[in-house]
Amino acid sequence: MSDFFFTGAVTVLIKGEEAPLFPGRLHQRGVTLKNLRYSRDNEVRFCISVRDVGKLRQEARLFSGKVQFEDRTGFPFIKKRLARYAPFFLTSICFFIAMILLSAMIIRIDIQGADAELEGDVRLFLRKEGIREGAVRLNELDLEKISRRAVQEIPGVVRVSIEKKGVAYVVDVSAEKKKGNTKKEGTHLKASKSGVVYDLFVERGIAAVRRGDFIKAGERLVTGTKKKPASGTVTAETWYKATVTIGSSLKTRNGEERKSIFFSLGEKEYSLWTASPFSKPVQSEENRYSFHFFSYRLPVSVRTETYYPLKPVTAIESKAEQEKKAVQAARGALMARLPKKAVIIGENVLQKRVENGKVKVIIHFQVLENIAIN
Amino acid sequence: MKWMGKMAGLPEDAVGRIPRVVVIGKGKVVVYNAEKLEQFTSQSVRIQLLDAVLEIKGKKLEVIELMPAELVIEGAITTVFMKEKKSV
Repeated sequence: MSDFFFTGAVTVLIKGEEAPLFPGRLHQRGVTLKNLRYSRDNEVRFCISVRDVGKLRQEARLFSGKVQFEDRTGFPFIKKRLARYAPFFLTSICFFIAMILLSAMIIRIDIQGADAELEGDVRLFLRKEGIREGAVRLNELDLEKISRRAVQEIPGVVRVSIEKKGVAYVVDVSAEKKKGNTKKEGTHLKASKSGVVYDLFVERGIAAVRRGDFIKAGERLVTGTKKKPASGTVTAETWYKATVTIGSSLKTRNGEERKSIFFSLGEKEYSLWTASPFSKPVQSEENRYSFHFFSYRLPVSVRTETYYPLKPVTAIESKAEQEKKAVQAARGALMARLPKKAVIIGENVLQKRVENGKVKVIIHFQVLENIAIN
Repeated sequence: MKWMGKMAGLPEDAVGRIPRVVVIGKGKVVVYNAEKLEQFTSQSVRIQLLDAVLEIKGKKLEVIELMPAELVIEGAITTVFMKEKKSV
């Protein structure tokens, strides 16, 4: 049967007095016949391979009755039919691809609960994470992770929830309530932190401190009246202490990578490609690509697992280098916490000690920032 | 040929084009090394063998496969009989 399928088969209808004898004659010529069926009135129907049609023709010339071709089945005929409808199939495939791509595209990002400035920050952060309008994302993003990172990285944000609604992302932001806004505006300017006054700029009111004064948190800086509350900025040198621990066994990826690819259909997962395992310690990353048709999720998805072998950093760092690195890390962390206008003017390593293989560094920072609050 | 087979201890049907008929239940007949399908209708099938004629009768007979060396008939088979060919 399989042979018939690949070569293509024809159903032949034979009519006439000698119809019952016809298959026998064909058989003698070495033709293979299948599914011979006799119906009344001397009609015989059978299947023959397309290859043998020539022999059938020869035999039909000697035959007195009628020979008709009825049905054509098999691969060559299917191919021909497919070729005829090729444009249709092509366009429908293109349509599906376009729809899948459009369904994966991020059309809109709605940010709720943020003012213009914060919204800009959030958008910038999302862009960095790869969520921007017009981006095509086939792999699923770990939205929880991103929102957790957003809280860490965007200053002034308490909670971020990112939700995917079809092609739109809805980002709900809860901003930190500014202290000044909630309270009634006080008449005097007070210090939010302790520090040494570096510079004063008084818009309204009378300065209660001078340059070089040491100020404790909560102390009055500028005196105002009830009618005209004090305003201005008081830049002071403040201090921060940071503790950094650096693991001595630093490891990096060595540039090699191996990828396993899995293809899942519905519940089942098939591996298309399995990476041979590394003997070294490995870091792995997982990516899942799923396809949507409008909001309907197609049961087909692709998952990749990428393995990066790790190698220990061989270069033994000098103590100075380690210290430098620690200071850099601490500085970065501090910068993220400080308001934008603050400047770090100095840093000193207070203490450095080795604790079970890790270096612990305590660093002191001097920062210039505005400490005046109402 | 026959004799060579006998000498070699082979079964008779394994040598040369000696016809063999296998009847499977009531519904199927397989004929190996049939010479010619002489006549075929839904009630009777006549097959010419090397030196005999095999006639199968029944209802709704169908030749499922008709290959050079093998012939498969299906249907409600009532009789299978063989008679020696009169004229060579």
